[in-house]
Amino acid sequence: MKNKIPLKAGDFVIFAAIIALACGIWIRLALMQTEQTYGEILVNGELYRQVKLGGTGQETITFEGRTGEVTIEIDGERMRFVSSQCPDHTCERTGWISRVGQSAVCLPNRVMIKITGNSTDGVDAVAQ
Amino acid sequence: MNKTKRIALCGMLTALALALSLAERMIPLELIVPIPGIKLGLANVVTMFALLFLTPKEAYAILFCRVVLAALFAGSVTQLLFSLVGGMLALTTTWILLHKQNKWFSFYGISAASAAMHNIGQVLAAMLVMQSVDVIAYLPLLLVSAIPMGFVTGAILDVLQKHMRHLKLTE
Repeated sequence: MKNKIPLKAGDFVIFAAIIALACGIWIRLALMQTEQTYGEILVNGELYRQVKLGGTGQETITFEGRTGEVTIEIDGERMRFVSSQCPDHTCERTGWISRVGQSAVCLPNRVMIKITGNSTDGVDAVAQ
Repeated sequence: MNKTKRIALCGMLTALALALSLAERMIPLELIVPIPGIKLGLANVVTMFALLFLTPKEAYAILFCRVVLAALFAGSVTQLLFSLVGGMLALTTTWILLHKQNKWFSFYGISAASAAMHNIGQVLAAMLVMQSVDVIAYLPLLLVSAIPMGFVTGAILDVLQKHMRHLKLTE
């Protein structure tokens, strides 16, 4: 048996096509991932603050809501309610949110945080 | 070759393909390529062999039986769907490319194309089942891995068919 692998011209076309397709999808996905997301804080339905997400920056925002003090933490590309002076603390239990379309709400304080972006692609667009 | 012999051969090949697809689950390829369920595709050697020495109809039958049985032995309904879509797409590609084998393509290229089409079929099925496009993120790595996998199965097939021609198994 010869040790040489008997490749034909068409084989290289196949390999090239596979690699080209792989690169194409990979580049497309890489472009989608660099999309900028924003964390929005809404009080009484009106935009109170908008923060650019995605860096390594950490920030804690504290302000007075309808029933008491609300603290919101921003950590890189995610955000959450740290504490809220309200009866049920549902907002705190929602935990971190990071993907476009996700939100956490404190109804008694009329405070809502949500993630927005340019597109609504991905799992959440389908799930919601 | 008479009908009884053909049926017996098909059954044997199905059993072989099933054994191969179950055995290759033990090879921890996930350590090299971090994708759930990545495999060598050894069972594809059997389907390609059936295409070479039997008829396309019998190759499809062997593939179908192997995929269903493999899902029954160790798998789930979703896995069955992924393998079925991937397998059918791969077999059809192989069938088309085999017409130009030795002229344009070698077994290595055909195996790689077959593996790539299997991956594409699987991911398409996964996208349908999960109703999400995010699964496509697995595809680039899977496609690139199709080339070395194609070389493995292609090498096996290359050696195999040289020796099988002397055996005159299908006459």
